[in-house]
Amino acid sequence: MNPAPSGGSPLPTAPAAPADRMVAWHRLSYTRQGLGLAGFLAAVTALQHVFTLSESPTVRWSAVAAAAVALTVLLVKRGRQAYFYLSTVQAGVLTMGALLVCTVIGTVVLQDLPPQDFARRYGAAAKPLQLLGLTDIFHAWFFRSLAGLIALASAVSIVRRRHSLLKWRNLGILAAHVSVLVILGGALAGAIYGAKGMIHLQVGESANQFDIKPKVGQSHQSGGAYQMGFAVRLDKFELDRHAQEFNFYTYAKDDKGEFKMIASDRPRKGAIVGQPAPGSAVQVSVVRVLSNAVRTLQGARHLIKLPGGQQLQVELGKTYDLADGAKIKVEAWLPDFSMDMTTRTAISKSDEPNNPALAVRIGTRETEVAEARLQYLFGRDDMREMMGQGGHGNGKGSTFAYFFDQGSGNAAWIEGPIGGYNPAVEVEVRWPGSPTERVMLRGKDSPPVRLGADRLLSFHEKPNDIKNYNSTLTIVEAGKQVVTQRIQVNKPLRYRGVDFYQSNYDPDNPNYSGLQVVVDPGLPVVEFGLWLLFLGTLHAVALRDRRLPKLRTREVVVAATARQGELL
Amino acid sequence: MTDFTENLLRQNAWFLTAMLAFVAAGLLYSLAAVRKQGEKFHTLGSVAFGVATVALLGFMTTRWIEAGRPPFKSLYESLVLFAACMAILYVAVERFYKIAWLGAGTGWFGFGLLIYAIAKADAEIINLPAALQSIWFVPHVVVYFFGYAAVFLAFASALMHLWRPQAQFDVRTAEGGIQQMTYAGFMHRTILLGFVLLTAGLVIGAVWAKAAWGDYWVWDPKENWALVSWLVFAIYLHLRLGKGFGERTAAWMTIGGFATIAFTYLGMHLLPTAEQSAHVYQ
Ligand code: HEM
Repeated sequence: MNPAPSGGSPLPTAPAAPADRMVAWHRLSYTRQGLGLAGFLAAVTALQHVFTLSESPTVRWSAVAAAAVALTVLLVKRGRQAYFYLSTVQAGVLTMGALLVCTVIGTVVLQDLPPQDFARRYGAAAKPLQLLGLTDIFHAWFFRSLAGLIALASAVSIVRRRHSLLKWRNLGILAAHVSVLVILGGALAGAIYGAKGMIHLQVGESANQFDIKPKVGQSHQSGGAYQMGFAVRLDKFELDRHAQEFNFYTYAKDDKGEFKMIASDRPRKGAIVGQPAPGSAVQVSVVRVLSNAVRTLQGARHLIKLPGGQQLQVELGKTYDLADGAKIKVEAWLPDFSMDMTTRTAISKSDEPNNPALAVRIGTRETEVAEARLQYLFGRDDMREMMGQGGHGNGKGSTFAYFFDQGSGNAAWIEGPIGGYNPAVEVEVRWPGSPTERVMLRGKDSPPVRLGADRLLSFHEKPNDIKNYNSTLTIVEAGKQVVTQRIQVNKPLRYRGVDFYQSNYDPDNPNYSGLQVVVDPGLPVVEFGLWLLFLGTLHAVALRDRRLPKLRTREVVVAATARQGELL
Repeated sequence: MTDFTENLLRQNAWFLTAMLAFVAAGLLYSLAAVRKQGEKFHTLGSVAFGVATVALLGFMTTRWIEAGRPPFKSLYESLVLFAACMAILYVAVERFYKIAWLGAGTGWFGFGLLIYAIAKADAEIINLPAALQSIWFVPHVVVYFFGYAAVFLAFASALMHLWRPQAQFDVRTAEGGIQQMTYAGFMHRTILLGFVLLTAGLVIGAVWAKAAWGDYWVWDPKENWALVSWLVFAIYLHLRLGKGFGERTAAWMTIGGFATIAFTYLGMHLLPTAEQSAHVYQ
């Protein structure tokens, strides 16, 4: 038995084994052991090719039998040495080193592409890469054998040191190595007994089975259907959006001559906003923030004729109850309605009431008014007629119609409720040497302000991406509804060993939900193993190195190399 | 360059204070390193790291409030977090270890991180995508960046070891005594700390991936490289148990390990497999 390496903490060592039996193995160098490992992995790869390429079952199974026999012979003749060797630190280093190399390869060589894409990407190299198993490395037989070897090596290394590892100070090391077994064992259980697939549902639909995604190593071939033994029904699908937000955005022309957003500012009263081009001394400051800017004329009246025939006088920004639980919300008034063809948005060309239009949302019992589509009601006779909006001439009376009464007052901006349709800011633009200019920038429909050469300041809505998406699922088993639960990304539903993950949505179809379904009895095992790995490592590190570690200095290394026979 | 200047002008007072504090720490510790009597500079240097810590915590708190989410999403935000982890770790290190050159290295490195952050400054605070809205998000990221910070210290010690293998410095022991330590010794300690943190990051990442996608591990390039850098240090720990693993080898391995971490953090877009990844910084 060796003394502990100079300086380091004393190591738990194996019970002494008769030296004669070990000598030959002690003399193995890393190079030779590495070559041995490579040879083993190559043999496994060869076996995989024979097995998968050969048509004849006889050839296939003889190859497997031959491999099994070879392995048995090796174990019978060299079992003790194999056991001893696998338990050494070098085995750990080599197997982990091989795992490292494979992992790197798996990020450098494109993985698991359809064969024709490989040929296109790699040309003449495609074939050899494929033969070596590098094009789907994480599912290659040799890679899995490597995982098996790592598990075996950890197992053997702890069995051989069981006596010392059971002492408190070494328990962390034990746990770390056991965790490797647990994790790989759990993964194996999942690979054998697990199934994975997608369920695509429309609201109201249910499914009691899913198509099994091909298991690893059988890519590009179907795995059949998995019967869950119960049904899952999609009751409801909801998209959560981030809160609506309007900001200042500075755009600058990039090298390609396209405007690119380079900076943003929140609209705060008194703030200096925008980022002028270098050398341009323009300054933009915020004078006023309106949560909902609506242009109106003092004394003007907005009348809506309802489908039932009665008239309603409305105010901008307000919501009105209609019959049958329906509601109408008046979002904005556009005095001079026009479609902007570049942005495909409705804007007001001027502040004159040349083509007055009301932007409204009409909610029904089913649709919340806030979520209803924005539509425009036109106040001019010809426009009403063109759009088929009730009123004069066509006499149908079945749709909403808008009538505008100009009144006599002056034009003014009024402020609507928070979170309104068209937030706005009034800014002061100061160019040195010119009079200060006041500009009203509306979030929905104002052109940007120039900030010097090739630079613009715009006030508009922050791109409002999806916050989360939710499916309300009901599990139906034997005709009974057992569970109803709302799932979202990061909050799956588990029922009888089947996990449902919110996975997909379709921006164009509000009733669709894509669920990833996972059946994996190994998952809790893997999870336990992962935490065990962490705790074991923590314990090992915390307890083993209280004392100052002194690594060997050069002189000692030379001496140690001279005694390289004693590798352990 | 004008982009950089413009971005610099947009940084707030917290950020600029932290930048100055890192410069001050770098200068003070550099002075401590070249002078014989460096005690005073050490004290001032650690005060500078304290200031950087406070400023960056201030920065992150205000940004957290403004964004309504943890400020660890973009590359810019993560560089700030990295710098904060460096400063916090070094304040802790200074309590026990008086290592002027490492203080200097950390100061300049922190400054470098913030300079890089300016070059990569966000034009706008972006929203958090659904997959990141999880209780695991903050622990995962914070643990990883403390791990990176520890590995940076190991890396700096490795360089110092290669330069001055015999140099020794004072260490305050838990019992209050003073001991001598070499750069190689300190390097090993920081690797142990870093390895525990990298393990925690890896484990949390896997547990989180399971909750979000139903898979612990999908062999995504970023995951793979996190595994690679973890394996480098796992192999290091095992190699150390065998004979013939000298300090120079250990130092070179540490340098290699730091390189894999730097690549994991910043190099993913260079990989041909990056297009298949869910993890690449835009
Ligand atoms: C691939 C299979 C592995 C083998 C064969 C192996 C083998 C060994 C051996 C022989 C030791 C020395 C213990 C002693 O001296 O009695 C050791 C130590 C250790 N192993 Fe492993 N190991 C393996 C994988 C791992 C993994 C994946 C980890 C992950 C954390 C790990 C963590 C440790 C730790 C923390 C120590 C203690 C190191 C120290 O004292 O600083 N091992 N291992």
